[in-house]
Formats: sequence, C-alpha cells, structure tokens
Amino acid sequence: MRHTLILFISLLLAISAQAQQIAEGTVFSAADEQPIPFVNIIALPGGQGTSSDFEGKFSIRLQSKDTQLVFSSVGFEQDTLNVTGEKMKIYLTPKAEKLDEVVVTALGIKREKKSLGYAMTEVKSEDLLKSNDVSVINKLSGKVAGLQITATNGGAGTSSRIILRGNNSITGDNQALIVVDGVPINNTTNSNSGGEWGGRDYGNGISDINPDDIESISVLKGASASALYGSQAMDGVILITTKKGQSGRKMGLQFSSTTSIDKAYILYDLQNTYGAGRNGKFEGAWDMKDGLPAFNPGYDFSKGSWGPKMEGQEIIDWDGKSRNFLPQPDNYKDFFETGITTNNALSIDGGAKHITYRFSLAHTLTKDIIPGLRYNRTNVGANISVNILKHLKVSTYFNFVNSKVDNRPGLSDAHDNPNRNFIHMPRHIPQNSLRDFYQDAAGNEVTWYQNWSWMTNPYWNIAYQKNQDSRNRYFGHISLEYEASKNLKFLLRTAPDYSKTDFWAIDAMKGLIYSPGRYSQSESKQLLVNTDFLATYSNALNENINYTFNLGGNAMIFKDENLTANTEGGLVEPYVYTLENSLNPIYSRKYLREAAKNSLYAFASFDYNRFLYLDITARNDWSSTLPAGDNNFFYPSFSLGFVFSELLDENRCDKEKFSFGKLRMSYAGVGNDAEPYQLETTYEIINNEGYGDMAFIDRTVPNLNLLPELVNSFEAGLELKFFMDRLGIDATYYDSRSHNQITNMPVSAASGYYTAIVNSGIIQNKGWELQLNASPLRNRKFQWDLNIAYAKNYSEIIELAPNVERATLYEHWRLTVEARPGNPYGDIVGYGFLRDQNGQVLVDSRGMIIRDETPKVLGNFTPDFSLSLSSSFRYKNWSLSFLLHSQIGGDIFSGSNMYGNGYAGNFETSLNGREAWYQSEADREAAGVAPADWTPTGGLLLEGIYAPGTIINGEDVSGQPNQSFVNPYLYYQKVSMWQEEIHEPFIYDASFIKLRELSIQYQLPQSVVNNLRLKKAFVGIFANNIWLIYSKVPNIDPESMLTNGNGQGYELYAYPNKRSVGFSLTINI
Amino acid sequence: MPELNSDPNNSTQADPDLLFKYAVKRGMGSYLTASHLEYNGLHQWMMYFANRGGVEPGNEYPAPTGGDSFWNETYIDGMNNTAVIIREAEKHPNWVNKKAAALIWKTFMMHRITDLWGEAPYSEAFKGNPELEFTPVYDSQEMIYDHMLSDLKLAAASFDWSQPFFDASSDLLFGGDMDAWIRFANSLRFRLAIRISEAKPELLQNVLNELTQASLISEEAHTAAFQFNSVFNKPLLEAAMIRYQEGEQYINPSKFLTDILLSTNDPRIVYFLEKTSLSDAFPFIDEYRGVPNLVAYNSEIWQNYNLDAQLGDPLGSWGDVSRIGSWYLNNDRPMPLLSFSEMCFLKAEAALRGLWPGDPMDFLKQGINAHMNYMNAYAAESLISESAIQNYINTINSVDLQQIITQKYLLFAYENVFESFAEYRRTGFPVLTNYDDSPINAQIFPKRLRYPYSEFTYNRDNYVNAIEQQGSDSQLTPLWWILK
Repeated sequence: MRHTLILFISLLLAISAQAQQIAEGTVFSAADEQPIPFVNIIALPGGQGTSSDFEGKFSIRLQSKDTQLVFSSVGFEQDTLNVTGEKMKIYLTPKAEKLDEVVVTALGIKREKKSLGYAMTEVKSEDLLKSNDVSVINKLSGKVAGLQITATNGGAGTSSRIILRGNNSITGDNQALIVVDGVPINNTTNSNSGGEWGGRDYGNGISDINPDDIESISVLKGASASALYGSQAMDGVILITTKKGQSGRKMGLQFSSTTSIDKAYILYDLQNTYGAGRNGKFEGAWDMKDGLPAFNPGYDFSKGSWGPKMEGQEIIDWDGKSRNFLPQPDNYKDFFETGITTNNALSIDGGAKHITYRFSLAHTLTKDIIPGLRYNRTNVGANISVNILKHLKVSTYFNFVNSKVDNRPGLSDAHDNPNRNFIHMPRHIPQNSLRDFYQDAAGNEVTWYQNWSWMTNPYWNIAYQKNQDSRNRYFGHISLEYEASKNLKFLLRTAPDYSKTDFWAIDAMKGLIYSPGRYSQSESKQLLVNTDFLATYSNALNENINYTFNLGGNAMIFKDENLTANTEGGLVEPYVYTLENSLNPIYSRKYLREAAKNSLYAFASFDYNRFLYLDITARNDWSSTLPAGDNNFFYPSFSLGFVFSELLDENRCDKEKFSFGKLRMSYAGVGNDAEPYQLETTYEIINNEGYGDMAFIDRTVPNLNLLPELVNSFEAGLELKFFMDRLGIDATYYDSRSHNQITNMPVSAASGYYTAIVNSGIIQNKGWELQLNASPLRNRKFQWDLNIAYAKNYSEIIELAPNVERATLYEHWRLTVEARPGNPYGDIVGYGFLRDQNGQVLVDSRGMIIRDETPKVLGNFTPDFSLSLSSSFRYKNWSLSFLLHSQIGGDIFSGSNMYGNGYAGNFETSLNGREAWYQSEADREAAGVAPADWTPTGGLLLEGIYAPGTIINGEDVSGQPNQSFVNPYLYYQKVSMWQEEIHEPFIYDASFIKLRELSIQYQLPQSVVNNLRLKKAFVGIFANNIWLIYSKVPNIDPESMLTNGNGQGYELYAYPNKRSVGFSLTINI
Repeated sequence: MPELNSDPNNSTQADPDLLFKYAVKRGMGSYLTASHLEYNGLHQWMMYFANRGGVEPGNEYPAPTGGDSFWNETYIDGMNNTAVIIREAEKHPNWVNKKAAALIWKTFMMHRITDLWGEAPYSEAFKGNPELEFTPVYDSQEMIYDHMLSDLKLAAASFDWSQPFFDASSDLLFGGDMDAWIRFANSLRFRLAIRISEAKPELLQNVLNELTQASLISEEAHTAAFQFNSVFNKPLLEAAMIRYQEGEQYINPSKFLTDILLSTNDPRIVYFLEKTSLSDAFPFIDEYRGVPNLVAYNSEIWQNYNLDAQLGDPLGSWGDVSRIGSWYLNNDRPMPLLSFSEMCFLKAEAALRGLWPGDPMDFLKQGINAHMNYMNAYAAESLISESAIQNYINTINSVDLQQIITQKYLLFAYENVFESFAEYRRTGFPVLTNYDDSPINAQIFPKRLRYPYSEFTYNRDNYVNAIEQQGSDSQLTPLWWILK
C-alpha cells in the first residue's frame, strides 16, 4: 500500500512538473558586469537546483509553488530574488574579503586562510601585471609588509635581493626560497653581481619565470609558515602558484601585450659652470706655444672640473681639436637611450571532465636605456592534469625558457662602466667628441684621459667590448595524486630544474682594458631535482574535531658544473676572438659542486569546531654537507589559530559591525646545512702560472665539526575585520633568533688563511608588521579600495664567534659593511672627521677638517621601517590604481657622490663656495699678499670648532666656532683622496618615498566585446618608478646598490633607474 | 651521501713538491704587491724612481697600496705553504731535506715581513689549520731575529744526503741542489746578522764566528736568483709595461740615482739608464737625465722636467728624461735574491767592523767587480770594458760604511728595494737628498709600513699589544734594529 502511495505521488509530481514554467536569465557580477559562470541557483521552496553556464546563462524548471530563486557563487554575496516572467538579469555583489579565503600554503597545500596560525600575504596576478619589469619578483616591491626587494642597478635582467623580515645569517645569502607549485626552484645568482672591482650581474633564477603564468604569489614570512620546506626556507618562502585550466570550462584563449617606453630617471645633477683643471686653473692636454699646439705631458684631466669658469674661451681639447670652453649640459643624459620593453603572452586553457590544460607562450624583449644592452626571453609553458583513473590524477607543469642577453654592462669599479666616465670627465668635453674619436688611425682606443687605463671610452666599449649570455632552462614537475579513499590521499611528485648557460665576453684588442685582446667563455650547468611523497589522512574525530595527518619525504639533489676558459697573452690572428686563437696556452678551469639532502616530515592539523586550529610539524633533514655520522637535524613547529569571533554571542555582538577576529601564535625552529666541501682540508692544483703544476693549501680553513644552523622564531598576530569585512586589520609581532651560524669568517692572514668556516653568532630579528585593508566605498558603480602595509624590523647581532668583533660583509675603498655585536646587521664603517668628546667636528687653523685615523661606524643600511599605500578606484568600466612606497631610515654610502663631488668637482653640489673663494684669491693677488698672510674672505665654511691648540694671528682660538674659509678644491680633494678617503660626508640617509606604480585600465563594454566576438577585453596604460617624491641622497636613486649580496648600503657608479610608461592590452576569446 | 661531499675539484693530499714550487713562486710577489708596494711606494721613497706628476704639499711619502696585499700573500701563499710542508714532514721522515729548504724559504720571507713592519706574528703564526688558532700573538722583532737565525742554522745542518730532495723542476731557485740551499741559508744568516749590527752586536759577532767555517755564496754561479717566464713576468717589467701604457708617469729613474752615477763616473750608468732620446741629435742635451723626487707639482723645477715643448718637441711624450735601462727589463735574466756581490759587500762591512778576516777594501772592490761583470754577462754585448772596471775600482782608495752601503744601493737598484730600504734605515746611507742636494727630512721619512687594517679588525688584541710595545702604528715608528 505504501509503495502504491509513493508511486502515485511520484506520478503526480511528474505531471505537475510538465505543467510548470521555466525561469531563464543571466547572472552578472555587479563589479564589472561580467557574466558569472557556475552560479548555484536553487528554486524555493521547491528546492530544484541548477547552475549557470559559462556565459552566466541559466534556465530552470519551476514548480508552481516556487516563487524565489537563490543565487550563490564563491566570492559573491548570496542573493535571493523573486521569479519574474521575463528573462532575468541578476547582479551579484562580490564579497569584500572572502571569509573562506583559500590560500596556497607550504607544499602547495590549499587551506582556508582562516585556519592559519601564522602570517602570510597573498598577491594576485592582477596586481603583478601592472608593470613591465622583466623579473616578476620586482613587481612585489612595496606590496607585502616585511618583504624587501632590491634590484641591482644594471639594466634589464639583473638580479634582485629578496629579504623577508631582515637578515638572519651573517655571511649566508639571506634570501627567500622560491617555490613554484609546491616545489623549490633554483634561484642562484649566476655571478656575484657587482664585485669590488667591477663585474656584471647575470640575473638570478626567478627572472626566468613568465609573469603571465602566475595565478598568485604567497609570501610565507615566518619560520612557521615555511617550516615544511626545511632548511632551504630559513629566510622565508616566495610561493608561486601557476595558472591552470579549469575542469568543464570551454577552451579559452587569452592574449596580452604590454609595451613600455623607458627613460633614465635620477641622473647625476651635474654643474655647468666650471671646466677642466685644478684649483681654478685650466689644465688641458695641449697648450698653445708660439701659436702652435704643444702637448702638455703633465695634464691631469682626471681632476675633473676644478678649473676656471667655462666662458667660451678657445681651447685645444683632448682630441687636439680647437673648441670653445663651454658646458655640455646634456652630456650624460644623452648617453642613455630610450628603452623599449615589449611583452607578449598568449595562452590557451580549458578543461573537460577528466582533463584540464593550459598552454602558454610568452616573449619579452627589452632594448635597454643602457646602449647595447638587449634582453630577450621566450617562455613556453604547459600545465596539464589528467584523471587517468577514477582516483588517480597525473599533473604536470612544464616550462621551457630561453633567454639571451647581449652586452651586460660593467658595474661598480669596472673599466667599462660608463658612469664612472661621466663622473670623472670634465664638464666641457662634448660627448660627441668621444663618440667621433674612440680610436686612432692605428685602431687603438683613445679617450679623453689616456693616462689611466681604467678610464675607457664608453663608445669604444659599445663598439667593441661585447659580451653575451644565453640560457636554456627546463623546469617544472610531474605529480601523481591518488585518492585511496575519501580520507586517504597520496602524492608523488618529482620536479627537475635544469639550466645551461653559455657566456662569452671580449676584451677588445687595442683597447685600454687589455690591448692584446682577450676572449673568455664559460658554460654553467645547474640541476636541481626535488622528489617528494606525501600521504594525507583526514577525518573527523567526533563532531567537534576534524584532523589531518600528513607524512612526507623529500629528496633533493643539486649539481652545479662550471667550465670557464680564456685566451692568454693575446691573440694569434688579430681580432679573431676564439679560444683556438690564443697566443699562449689557454687558461681553463672546471668546477663541480654537488649536494644532496633527504628529509622526512610529518604534520598534523586539528580543527576544533572551526574556531580553534592547531598545526604541529616536525622535520628531520639528512644533509650531504655536514659531517658524516652527525649530518642530521630535527626541528619542530607549532601554530595555533583562534577565531574568537566564532564564539561571540550574535545577540551581543553585531556581526554587521564586527565580522571576524582571530588570534594566532606560532613557534618554529628551522635548521640549515652548509655549502658543500667545507669539512676537509684540500689543496688546489693550478697550472697556469708558467711553472707547470703547483699546489697550495685551501685559503679557507675547513671545519670538521660543523653543526647545522638553527633559527628559532616566535610570532603572534591578530586579525580583525569590521563592517562586513570592508575594513580589515592584520598585525603581527615576531621574534627570531638564528644560532650556530655557519660563517666564512675572515681571520688574521698571519694564521695562514683568509677565512675560516666556523659556527658562530646569534642574530636577532624582531619586528612588527601591520596590514590594513579597507573598502571605504562600494556600490554597483563605484568602488574604492585601500591597502596599507607597514613593517618594522629590529635586528641585532647578539654575538659573533669568540674573539671576533666583527664580520665583514663587503669591503671596498677602505669602507666596510660589517656585522658587529650589539649593533644591527649592516654597519657601514669607514673614516670620518675628527671630533671632540662632544661630537663637534674639529678644524685646523685653515678651517680644514681633520681625518680621524680610527675607522668608525658611520651608518647602518638597515631601514627603520617601510610603509606603503596602494589604492584602487573603480568607476563602471574604469579603474585606476597606484602604489606609494616608502622606506624610512637606513644609510647608504655613495661612491658616486664622493667622486662626482670630491675628486671630479662635476656635481652641482660641489659648487659651494667656489665663486667666493676665487674672488678672495683675486682680491689677494690684487693686494699682492702671500697666501700665508691672507685671511680668505670667501670659500667653504665648514661646520666645526677649532681644534685644541689652534692659533690664528697669535691668538688661541681652540674651541671657538670655525670662521676660516677653506678652498673648496682642497676640501674636496682631501675627502676623496685615494687611500686617505673621508667617507663621512658621503654617507646619506637612504629614506625615500616613491610613487612606484600608477595604472589606469578600461574594460571594453560587453556589447562592443561581443560584436568583436571576444569574451573580454581590457586596455590600459601604466607607469612605473614614476616619481621619487622624497630622498635625501643627491644625484642617485637611494635604492641604488652594486650587489645583490650582503654588501648593501654601498653605491658606486650606479646606473640610473628606469622610468617606464606603457600600454597594455588583454583579450579573452 | 657523505662521499658526495668530497671535493672533486681539489686534492686532499699535500704534495711537498707542488706546494714548494708555489710557495717560492708566490714569494716573488704578484702584480698587486710588486707594482703597488715596490714601484709606487718604496722605489720612490728610496729615490730609484721619481714621480713626474710631482707631489702635493704634505704628501711626500704616501703609503703604498700594496702593503696589505704583500702581508697577506706572504703569510698565506708564501710562508703558510712552507709551514704545511714543515708540519707534514713530521709524518714523513724522508721529507727531511724538503723540510729544511721549506724552513729556509720561510725564513727568507719572514725577514722581509719583519723588516717592513717590525713586530709580527711568527711563533704562533700558520696555526689556522688544523689548530684553529686565528689570532696569533705578535713576536718582538728581537725574538723573530733570534728565531730566524737559529732556524737557518738548524736547516743548514739538517740536510741528509741519503734522503731525497726536490727535483730540478720543483725547486725554482736552485734546481734541486742541496749544496746551494746550504750556501743560501748561511749567506742569509750573514745578511740577517749584519742587519742587527746596531741592535744586538754581540749576536752578530757570534753568528759571524760560526759562519767563518760555513760554505757561503762565494762566486757568481752561487747567486740565489729567480727565473721569471713569459707568463709570469718579472715585477719590474710588469710595472714598466703598465706604467708605460699609462703614460710613463711613474717609472722614470730619479735624478738622485743619476747624480750618483754621473758624479762617480760609474760605467754601470749605461745599464741603469737609457740615453735621452734627443741627446744624439742635440749635443747640448744631457745624455742622462733623471727626474727629481719630491718637487712640488707645477713648480718651476717640475716644469723643467715636464715640458717637451721647451725642447722643441711638441709631440714628445714627456720631456726628455732617461728611461729605465732596458738591461733591467730583460725578462730572461733571473732576478737575484742574494747575490755573490752582496755577499762581498756583507763581508766588507763585517771586515770593517773587525768581525771577519780580510781587507774590507778588497771585499768592496771584489763586490763592485762582480756586479759589473754580472751586468756584462747578461748584456747582448759587454758595455763595460775591463779597463773601465779597473779605472772605477782604482778610484777607491779607502773604505767606509757609506761607500759599502752606497754600492749596495746601486746593486739593489730597481730589483731589491726591500734590502736598500732596510740598509738605509739601519745605516742612513746613501744620504738621500732633494733637488738642491740637501739631505731629505729624515724626521718624516718612513721607518716602516702600517699594519694591514685586517689585523686591526681580526687580530685586535695582539695588534694592540704590539703597538704598545713597539710604538704607534705609524710609518714613523722606528724598528728594533734601526739606527737610533
């Protein structure tokens, strides 16, 4: 009977269903009026459901009693609407901050952000595409609290220093680990970038990534977040997630193109008053003798522009040509070209039931502002995932990169760095004279200052001094995911990253650098393979507690093979640059470096009623680089997230006003191993010094008992959200200490060695990070979002090795960058002015400062804090966004200023007191008084007091304020004198405020787009590095650095930065 | 996995032959040390060369840049590799002769270090590996000298003919000749003993007494010299090439040196200097013209040496002055480290002091004769005739210390400034003079080099103790053996 009844009712329903109506319509996003696919639609009260198709369209059969439709979709506010007769248009409002925001965490595991017990920041791809930098990492600058990115100034494709929460290691590289889709990639720098005496920056691994392939970047700052990556992640992780196809989505095509015009920005501010000479007197290469030009052998143009005023006097210039002595105001500016960067990316993606795919192709080309520099990169990518069996999925990500860079410029004190030329060259010399006469009739390089081979002609370098590096790189992963049951999953993954880079460089024959000519060539092969397994079991313990257990393992191998060779003694056949053409036997050297590490790890997460979350991780590493038998180390981490807003009584607390609150806390230890080959004594055998094989003991003392490094870190944070998530605050406090640092510590040469590998040192880094998000205005047509990020890091060197008072991070021109106990990382130590015990500068009877012969700490490169503000406005189809970035505190030594002001007198700032001094001298000569008997009436009045025992005109003036004018030429010569440098006046506060990014984007209206048979189209303009709003460093960009190593806070002959304005187009088909 | 950490690029075995070759070669310096320390500093201090750029007031004796590199290279590349041989020899009894040569060479380098700086780490040096001692104490110079003298004695006595020695290719100084090493050790001991003539005369006497029976460098063939080659040019040639390329600014022989040669009609002048380029065509132009030291930049005197135009040669490079003699730039001629001539002069001084049998004047003449013959021997054609030699020698009819040391000054010209700098500080000879022939200001003449900044940084306590004992770390602080 019962069965009969059921049958009857079913029939009845079926009949009534046939009689009912159908509701149809399209769902759009209120934000951009784009159709929303896959919206869940449920009819009420009948409960029938459907979802929208890719174009947002839906149709649903209604029962007669149904009156309402409920629309819900991830990322949008749910909406309930009455059924109307016509075709419906539904606009869903995007959620302000997705409460159940899913983020990518370590090992590529997706988790709700809510559940995390540590700080992380995610940056979406939209925010990355607003600039045209060839290296994707530079686009993160200023966007994440606690992340500091510094790119070497050397044109397109240089490396970037990536520091999270300060420097944890004294002499380690301190840089964050780069992870793509859960697996680390090779980010080694391919050279030491700017070394003391020059060098080139060959970029680092991250610059190979196609920005267009990136879905999002998560920045894992603290040790807890990155503990699962183990030792490599001691300095944090940049986690890149690539774009993938979506299951069930029709094939789509996206094309995007950006083109930008780049101009040199922040050029030296050069003076246009005085020309070549010293002490006010002209000194040219040629003198006129009896109406004939006579070479002046003592001429010393290297003193730059300390000569007389340029007033059109007729002179014979360096090239023997007659010229009027006149300033060349655009000399330097005209050297740099207008750069162009284009970036075109094409991708196809889609998916069927068992397969998703995405293929991408991208090409980047930069013609740099630095003449001759070209950067060329092609990326081919594929991201495919196939369900080969019901519970077995194979995914692969593959990327091929080819990059080719022509003519990387010399950095810092390199012979072929053109900036040093323009810093030293007298202001009257026309740049054209260098361009028109860079070689003599015999083909030898000539330049305006022939007496010093380090002063080369930039145009000779452009013409002949060539170099190129090209790289082929393959990286990606293949993974197997098996779902044994609903609760148990397995993952097996291997991720190779192989690159081969070929370099060659020419020192042109008959050039000033090496006139016999030299060709050098090298080949570098690097392979990194990470293989992982991971088993995950998740279940519910009871109705309150859910848990996940994971057990994983990783095997890492790294291999680096380097082969370099160069010609010796010149070339047999002139101008033929090959190794075979070497006059003497070539010099060649092969270097191989290998390391391996195996790890086992486990982690467990517990979720109690979705408000209390606990994570525990444990990892043990076995490293090939530590002493056998004692080569493994263990470290744990704990983190706790407490979403207290879940506990608040809805009646007492208005969720409309206070929507979310979470407290989090974590503790982690992360260990680290050593570089290979630091344990045993070795003897290097060489044979290139003309006496056959010879050997010497390694100049670094190995360490048989090396211990792993360990970073212990604690952090606590608070997240609050208000007004339906339209205001969010995220604050973090952290404190980390690194112990047992493996340091290559410089030692007294009298010990027989330059350096020794020691376990030493404790560095503490603690600080605050504050991130604030707000959407003050939001409606269908207008939206205003605001994001503020603040980070303050205090670093302190607690101790170094026993008996070691400092560790040198960088050294050049008697200025060192050091780590000293009790001070923050990065002291800048050099020579300063002699002062009394009150800190007053002492001057002698001529009013001249005195050098303090004891070097002292003159500054520190660590900034006090960074603050950035980004905001975007959207009105209908238009959006505008900008990024303001500031970094306050921290110092920089500027070698450009030292030489441009001091030695060369070419900078505007070196004009102080010159006019008045020459007037005083003219008065003195007119009066016929000897210099010793004359009290100068003008010149440079230096701030200070007379030194004890100073007597002027028979009167003891000790301690009185200085009133003696000094000759500016003598002052500047003194402070910049080779080997007797006084660095102090050239150390500047490196604080800056910059308008980094500005972009305007317009989305073409859907009607237009549809007519064009497209799905979506955007056009935009963007500008980068637009305005240095505030800086106290004259003549250079305060972010200028010559290395991506630890020797920060040191600038020398830096290239100007680029200001770019560009156009972008994105089309979806 | 640990086997992966065995360095594939380098050897783990200490090979004494390869190490010794390297230590000797590196003891000759490199571009940085030789050209910066010697040619940009010491040579101008000692007035072999003069800088035609002139000097800025108050800048008479700028510190040479190469001092720190010289210190580092000598300790690390030179001495430490000999120290490794000496230490490893404990495990290999048949290295006894190699150990002895290593000890002699180590001493040779150490004497250069202490003569330039004074107190220096020695007894505790070279203990970085394996002792992990990175902050060696400074020994007093007296202690270092005692140590060096006894090491040389010990080394010379320890050779054992039944045991192997370096083969010809591994011994860059004497081609594996043990007798030569013994003569070198004894002669070096002689030199060091004379060095402390003022500071510790009784020890000088003892050492000389012991050496009367010892074999010494006693003919030209015994001279200790190093053979450079086309890959490793002699430092003087290297410096000259670089300087010529940079406009010949620094490498001109000085007026002081030229005047000594001219005033004594020294026939060696043809080897020391090239004739001025215009003197052939214009007889009124001096054949030999050196550049004065210490003249002020742009002063009237300076102009005299810098304006070609005055000589009617607008395209001339630098004013007509003599270049360094090409004889010295011959890379095939080995560079003497301790020559037979020097031994003659050392004996002359010892005899003058009554500590060595023989007539000091005979030794002096023998030394000059040897030097002139040596110069002839390495010239394409002998430019000094036998009669010229005799004429020059015959002008000597008395002997005093000034003559002996002045002859050494000439002997050491361009190639061994370490010795002439040391002998000048010990004896005050030759009397260095300025343009007006008045003696230079000895008060501001450098007595030593400043310790490298790295010592202040990495070995501070010992550095501070050293300057407490020796005096401030300035160029003007006298050394222990210096003439007071």
